[in-house]
Amino acid sequence: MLEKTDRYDYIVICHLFYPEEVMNLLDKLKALKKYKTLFVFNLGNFFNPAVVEMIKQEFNKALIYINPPKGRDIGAKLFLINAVFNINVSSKYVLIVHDKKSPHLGNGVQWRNELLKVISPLCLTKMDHYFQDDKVGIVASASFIQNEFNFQTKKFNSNSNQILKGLISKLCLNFSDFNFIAGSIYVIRFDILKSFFEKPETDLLEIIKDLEEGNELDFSKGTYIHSWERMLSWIATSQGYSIYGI
Amino acid sequence: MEFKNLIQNHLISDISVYEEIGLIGSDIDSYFSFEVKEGNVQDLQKLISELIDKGNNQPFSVTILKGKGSFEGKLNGKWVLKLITILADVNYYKFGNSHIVFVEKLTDDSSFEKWKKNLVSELAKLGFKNIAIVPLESRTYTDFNLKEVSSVESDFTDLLMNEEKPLIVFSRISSSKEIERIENRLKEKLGQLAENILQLVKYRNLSLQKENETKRYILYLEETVKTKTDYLDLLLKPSADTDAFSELGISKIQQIKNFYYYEYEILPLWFKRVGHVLKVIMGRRNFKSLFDNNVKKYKN
Repeated sequence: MLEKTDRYDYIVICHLFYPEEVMNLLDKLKALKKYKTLFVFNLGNFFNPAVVEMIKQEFNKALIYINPPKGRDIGAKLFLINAVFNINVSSKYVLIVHDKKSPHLGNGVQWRNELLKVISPLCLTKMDHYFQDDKVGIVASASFIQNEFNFQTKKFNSNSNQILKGLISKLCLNFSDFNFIAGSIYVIRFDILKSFFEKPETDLLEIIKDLEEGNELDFSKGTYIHSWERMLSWIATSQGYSIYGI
Repeated sequence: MEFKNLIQNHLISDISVYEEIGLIGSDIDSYFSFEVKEGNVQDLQKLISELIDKGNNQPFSVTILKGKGSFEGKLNGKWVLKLITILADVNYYKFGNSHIVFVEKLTDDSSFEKWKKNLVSELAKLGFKNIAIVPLESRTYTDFNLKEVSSVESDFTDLLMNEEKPLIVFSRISSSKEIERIENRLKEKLGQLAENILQLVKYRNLSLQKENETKRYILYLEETVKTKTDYLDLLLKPSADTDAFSELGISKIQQIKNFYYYEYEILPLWFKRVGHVLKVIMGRRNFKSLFDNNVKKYKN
């Protein structure tokens, strides 16, 4: 049973894919237990029931889902956003996180550790301070705030350029701050997520359908997965909010 | 007598029964399959809220009933979004890898078949590819009686012949006493027969479970191998095509290797050795490291 609370401090939207990384991430997430937090997990298909039991014990009242392998971590996060909106809860902040491993990259672990800085106990105590400015919509590691937009050519320096432009036009977004968090681990204001996905133009069903299945990479061609990795940050910047780097 | 693993006994009920009895585990694997009307967003919302509010830990499924004007036309997107939240629930009942969804089929008309096809196709587009739609036409019981138990006997043959099929008994219930009554009837009627084949079914279920675990592991390995293969493909491509990852400092690997070869490796050995001495003179390398591989080479 969920706590009878008007508003959580945090809702944690967490995707776990690599069985060998579970303990590491869960250990870090424990820092959020001292706040009024609702944990919502998505597990890959490879987990055995023991992991489910462990999560239930460690994160009391956590909601656990097993969504299909569609859209890698981005798809899982969108599935969970849909689940959160279906249970009628709200919070000050939403932590969007996954067990990032990037086995194809030599610096994958370093990348993940840097991104997870945002849930270090010290950063969590300062979270209200980071969000003190009403214009701050997202807090994330400064090392991975990136921008691929070339204002001269009006193109994104990415294989997903065409898809990105298509999505911006389809969702009727008009903005010029194309900063995004490479790796998609960050804290965002709940209200920003809600107002974005409540827009009539934002059809979550169609968005999920578009996502590629399996472990699709964008080395040689654009993908909806990698486009939505960027869009997940633009949810905030397109509403006039900025990204605060720590 | 152990009926577990032998029969999946789905007790079909209105969500409101939850209030009265909750989800009760029983000797014969009784699962609730909650009735929801097709296209009715409120029904699914109510079920989602009930499952969370009660902290459900028991397997469950949904039974889709014909609502007003349902099984016709396009699926309601909002209803589908709520349905996938329910299907993804960790406790949603699956047989093998398939989500079991019961559907009340009242007529044979083509609109139902079209709707079923639509639903399966829509869910597949969302990644739910193993949806087993089980029509309740032939097994919709308003009550449970011996006649129905007899019909279950013939299913045992099916059960042994068909490894994909669970033996399912359905019953609509209105109270907790109903569950008890069903269990007693089943035990009384099937006791002897069930005992004879129980071991076989156990082995079958065990092998199915192992097979599923292996399938999931193969999928995991395939994903891992694909990631690495794709990355190798990237490395082997001309570097000009790999700028997408330049921000991570990895797309220039091939360029760097070429640069290293043409700018350094190609030089004569004596020149490289002079270079090492120069590094020592400039304070960038330890003097001792010129003669001993076991000491720290560089100062930072």
